[in-house]
Amino acid sequence: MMNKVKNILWPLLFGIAFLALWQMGYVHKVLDLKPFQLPVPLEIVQTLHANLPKAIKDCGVTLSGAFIGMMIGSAIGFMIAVIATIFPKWGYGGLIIITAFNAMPIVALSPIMNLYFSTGMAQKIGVVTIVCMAAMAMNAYSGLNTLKPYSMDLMHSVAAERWVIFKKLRLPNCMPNVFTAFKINVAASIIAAIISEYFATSTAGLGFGIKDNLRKAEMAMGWSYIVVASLAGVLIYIVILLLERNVIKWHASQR
Amino acid sequence: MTISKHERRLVTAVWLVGILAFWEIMAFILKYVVKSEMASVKLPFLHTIFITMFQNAGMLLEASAVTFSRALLGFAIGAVIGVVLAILMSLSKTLERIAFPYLIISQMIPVLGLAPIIFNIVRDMNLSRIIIAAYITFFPVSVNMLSGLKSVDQEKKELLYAIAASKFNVYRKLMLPYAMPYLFTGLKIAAPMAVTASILVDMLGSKSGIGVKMLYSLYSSSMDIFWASVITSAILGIVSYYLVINAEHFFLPWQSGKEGETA
Amino acid sequence: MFKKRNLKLVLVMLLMVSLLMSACSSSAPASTESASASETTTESSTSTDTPKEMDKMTIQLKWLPQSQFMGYYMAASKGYYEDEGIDIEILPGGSDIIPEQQVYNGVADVGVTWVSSLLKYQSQGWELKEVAQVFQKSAMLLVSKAETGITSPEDLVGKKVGSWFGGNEYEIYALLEANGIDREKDLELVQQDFTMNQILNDEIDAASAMTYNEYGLLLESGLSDADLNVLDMNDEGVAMLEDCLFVTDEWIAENEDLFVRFLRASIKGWQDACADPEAAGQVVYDADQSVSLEHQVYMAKEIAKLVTPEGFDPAKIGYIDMDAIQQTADLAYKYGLLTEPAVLDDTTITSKYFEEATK
Repeated sequence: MMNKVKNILWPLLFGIAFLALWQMGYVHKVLDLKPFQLPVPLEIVQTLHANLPKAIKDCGVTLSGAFIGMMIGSAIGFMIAVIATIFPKWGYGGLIIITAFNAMPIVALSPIMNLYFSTGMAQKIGVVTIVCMAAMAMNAYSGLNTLKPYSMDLMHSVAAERWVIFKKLRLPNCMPNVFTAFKINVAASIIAAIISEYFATSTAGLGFGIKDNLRKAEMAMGWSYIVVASLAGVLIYIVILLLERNVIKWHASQR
Repeated sequence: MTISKHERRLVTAVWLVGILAFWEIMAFILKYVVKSEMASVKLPFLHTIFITMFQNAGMLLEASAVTFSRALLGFAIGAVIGVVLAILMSLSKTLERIAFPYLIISQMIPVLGLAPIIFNIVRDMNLSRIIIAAYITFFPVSVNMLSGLKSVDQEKKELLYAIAASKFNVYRKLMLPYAMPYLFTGLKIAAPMAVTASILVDMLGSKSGIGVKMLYSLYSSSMDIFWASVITSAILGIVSYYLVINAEHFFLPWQSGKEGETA
Repeated sequence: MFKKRNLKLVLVMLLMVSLLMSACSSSAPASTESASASETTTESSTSTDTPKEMDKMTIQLKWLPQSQFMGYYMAASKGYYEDEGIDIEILPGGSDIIPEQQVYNGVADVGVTWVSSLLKYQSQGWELKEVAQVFQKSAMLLVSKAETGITSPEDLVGKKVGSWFGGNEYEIYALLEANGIDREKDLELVQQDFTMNQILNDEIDAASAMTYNEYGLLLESGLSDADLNVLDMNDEGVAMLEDCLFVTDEWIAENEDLFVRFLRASIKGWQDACADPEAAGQVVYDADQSVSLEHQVYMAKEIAKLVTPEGFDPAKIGYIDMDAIQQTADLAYKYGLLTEPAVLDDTTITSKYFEEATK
């Protein structure tokens, strides 16, 4: 219990201290910025408050796209890792393809997806899916194959079938890695969804709000959208953390 | 589970041919079966892209060199920052608690909002570009490294402490070696990301680089050059990935054996 | 086995070293890449043994290097900047580059942006000042395929209309409102990406297009003028001014003379470019090889029409027409870009340096 309080308290205290310094103008002084270049927190909050219903709606659009895309992308990534494990000889090439996808910038992916999908949502999901595949494939593959010494020998000594080895040894072994991948993908999926919205055929979403307002010098409004994105990212991250705690209680990282 | 070198080459070749064939078939279907008017833009034939790449080889190579060198620099700086942050966070639970949510937040700030602030601080475009590339790259390295450091069995740590090993030695002898496979997984994710990041910063008013070619060709509807640069960026990603794999084979030879490959 | 591994180590090391070296060597000249680019274009005079001290100056373009900015490339290529003792660096724009911020941050000395956008920044407290007006007309069009049948603004009702937003939507807002169309209810406004694929693909009915760029792209894609209907903002009476030059108050206070020299050289460059757009297109194409020469020449011809419209004296390139500025400001206020009327006085806009440069 004490730990849980600490978990929340420490980052919160740090955040409040930082926000206070920012509000009082120290951050601006250190970085030599003017308030109209980077608005102060209170201004951001006021702007956000005045625009709350629309911001929440936009947040919903972006997050649902990011979430669906992350799930599809992670699922594909995991499948590829599994295939690469079952057929080490042939499946390994799949990982390399994934890498190639990962090196295509979102700025190029978005217009390509625009060609295939006419709605902003489908385009977003397409982009996020591709962005999220690699982290999961790499991590899951590493988890499925970095087994503890002798564990394989043990399995062989009891003449376990491949399926049993997979279910009892490999799958649990890769769970921590899967969660690591999710942690990376939470951040990646939201930012990918945001950037894809810069180019989407729609005017909804956090990305549109950020781009439109920052370009038009509505800094407070633009940053209020960035704040919403950050809060959403941390919230989803916490959900992943709680899930991790329940699913892999046995793992060293959870003790 | 060991696969001979010869076999590996064969597998790679089969994959390569398979992908080429798959792409060509899809392009064929799009053009002649679905009869999409935009077929040459949506999914041009791979061989036409290769012809474009060949015709513009000099330009693309030059651009690749700029982008790749910047990616390498961004990757190196990002990886070091990522590892250092992970070690610091593993040393102090408090620091981890403080830092991690903010690391996530840091990844939520898009370049459009971040770049003016970095420019304002650094006032040098080139340095700013490298900083931004590193900023995008460090996150997966940090996350993977940290989860590696945290995965060390408590018993082992206690054992070492019990024989009066110093914290430094525990890290050197146990924690860091243990976290290495995790680190390399992080690096494998980060390497192509560094290429992406480098392409992104190319677009921040640079005069050369794959990103510039991509943006220019996209905006001027030169879709052949656009696709050629997209494929080039994918190849750069694969090259960066292979570099990490090679480094892993070298530094962690025992690890590579388990991945169905032997050096 | 060991040997093989050793070999691999050497290979990896070699790769790393060579890459790092290429990184260092490419990042070093990269900082002067624009300078060297202007050097290559001014081959006639070697820049290393110039006798007098050159003043360094940077100009931030609003977008990618293209004939839209041909005057500056022309002036650099013909050595006009050098004649005025200026070592010019031309910074290209990009999707994440905002010229107002670049100039305010001190990354560039002079910037190119749209008047409406500059007015917005000024109203938010950014101490920026317009010092020359390059384009005398609006280049904004709403283009649609002829079969869609959009020949007047009223025909836009019920249609899907594209805009780039981010400050580029206000002429369209003005067009709609001036014709009694409610932009929330009567039609759907959607965002366009950088390409014209959405209209080619029939995903939208009408698209924003600049006369000098996107319209040309549509023509290059195989459509002819007869296939396209055009709503021209100038004809509809809702034109807002675009490319202008601006500086910060702080910089201009210290570099008045330098800026006048820069402006003089730039005007000469624009005059040459407008007189011979074919040559200007070639100069821009040489400065950056990736966009097709044809397109650059097409663009140069269209840009010439904006910089020197019919009956406009080329000697007056850069002239600030306060009536047109006032219309831009009025429209920007009326249709919501500005929350209060723009302040148009010596603090925000001045012809002082233009008059000095054209004396």
